[in-house]
Amino acid sequence: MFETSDIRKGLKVLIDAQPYAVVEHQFVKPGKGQAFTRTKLKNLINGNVIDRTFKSGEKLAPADVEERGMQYLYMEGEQAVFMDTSSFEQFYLSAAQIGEQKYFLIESSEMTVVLFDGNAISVTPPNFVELEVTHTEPGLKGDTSSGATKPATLSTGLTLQVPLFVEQHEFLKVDTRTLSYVERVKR
Amino acid sequence: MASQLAVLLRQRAQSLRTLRAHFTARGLLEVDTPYARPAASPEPYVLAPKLEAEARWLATSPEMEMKRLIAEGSGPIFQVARAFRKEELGRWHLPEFTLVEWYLLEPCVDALVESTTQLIRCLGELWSSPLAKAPIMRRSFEAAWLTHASMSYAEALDRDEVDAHWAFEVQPKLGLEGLEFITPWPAAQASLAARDPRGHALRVEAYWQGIELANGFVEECSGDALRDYWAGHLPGGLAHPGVDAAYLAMLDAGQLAPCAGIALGFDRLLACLLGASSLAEVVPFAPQPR
Repeated sequence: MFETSDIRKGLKVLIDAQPYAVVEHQFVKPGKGQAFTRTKLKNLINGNVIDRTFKSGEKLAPADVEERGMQYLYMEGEQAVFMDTSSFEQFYLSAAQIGEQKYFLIESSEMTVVLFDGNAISVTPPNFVELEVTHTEPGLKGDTSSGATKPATLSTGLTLQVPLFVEQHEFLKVDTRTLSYVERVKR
Repeated sequence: MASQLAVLLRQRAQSLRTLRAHFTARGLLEVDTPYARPAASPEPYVLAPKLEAEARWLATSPEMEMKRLIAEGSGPIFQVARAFRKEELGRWHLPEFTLVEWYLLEPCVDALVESTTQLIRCLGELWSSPLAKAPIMRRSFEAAWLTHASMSYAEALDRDEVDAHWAFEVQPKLGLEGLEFITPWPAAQASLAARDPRGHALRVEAYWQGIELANGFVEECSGDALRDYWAGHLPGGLAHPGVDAAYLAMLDAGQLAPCAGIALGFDRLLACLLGASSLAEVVPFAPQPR
């Protein structure tokens, strides 16, 4: 069990049988009174953020949460299939569990799968991925200077704004945290 | 030396020099008392780190020994003391910090409010801080509670939730319009303070922008009254390791002259004067909250 003095950002705890990660915490203590730790916690299954205040001396249950590198294999219907390349065990994530990460599912790429009690609950892509532009209007040749942008659609269905000089079938480096264009990459 | 640290060291040094001159000019004698003590903290929620091998505890404040000096006839005294706390680490808490604590032979809250105001003004002027000219306000614990707490005091006391309501609902609203002194306090939170004829505790706390800067008492001089309070408020009653036998013997012998004392968080005051947003910014080598 964790003590309140163990609380730090990222700590994984169990509340009402659900796994949460500590997002923020604050130590509060009136001069001669009892001490408290106020926390903001993010539910690792549904993403909801809750507030909880713990008294010093209260114990917190650790959540069995593990982050494991796995290879994305393919979609099986609505489910994404991942494989632990050391054990060859396969894990399935539903469309709901994948959420926005569907834009970064690239066959055979390494991703981080979050497991709770041994079951896959979510996936995190690397910070940057490279994806092909499947559709965009042609830009004016040589237009590398103006800040204007145009929409482009990538192979995974993600649409984002790109500079005018980007052409169809080029590969782009995309920031998976902001879903934004970083630069063109040579392929 | 990194220039930011050099600036901080000079700010701390200058503040301490000014503080010492301020008290000395007012006739207070600077004293120093042991940091390793034969008794634990006499407070249920203020924990003293223990030096196991020595069977001693680090002082959570210099108050017990300073009052014993008063009992020995020292006259008014002040100290710039290190204080140690177990399990206190956060934006406004450090496991080791500096208290400025002083005792006057005037057993009244007004003397504490006046001397605290003068000290804060003096350091406020040194750093051209709003605290140099901030209006002084006073409110009773009861009035502050009635205005800001969402539950009656009686019910909160019953549910052992007084600290939670005070910390989360009341304290953030104190000291917003000026330097605010909260006095008197309910008997249940008297700590080492004497009571007035109506039973209220002659305790005072100073607040600025929701931060507690100081805590003081008109001192309880009766050994029996203190024993009663400790028996009712310390886990284990009089068997609690914070019950200081030498201190009680001093009170029983009637040796403590009527007096009042107050402890001010030097690092917290400095942070407020310099516009810092945490203790770690004004204390070299402070452990960072996780």
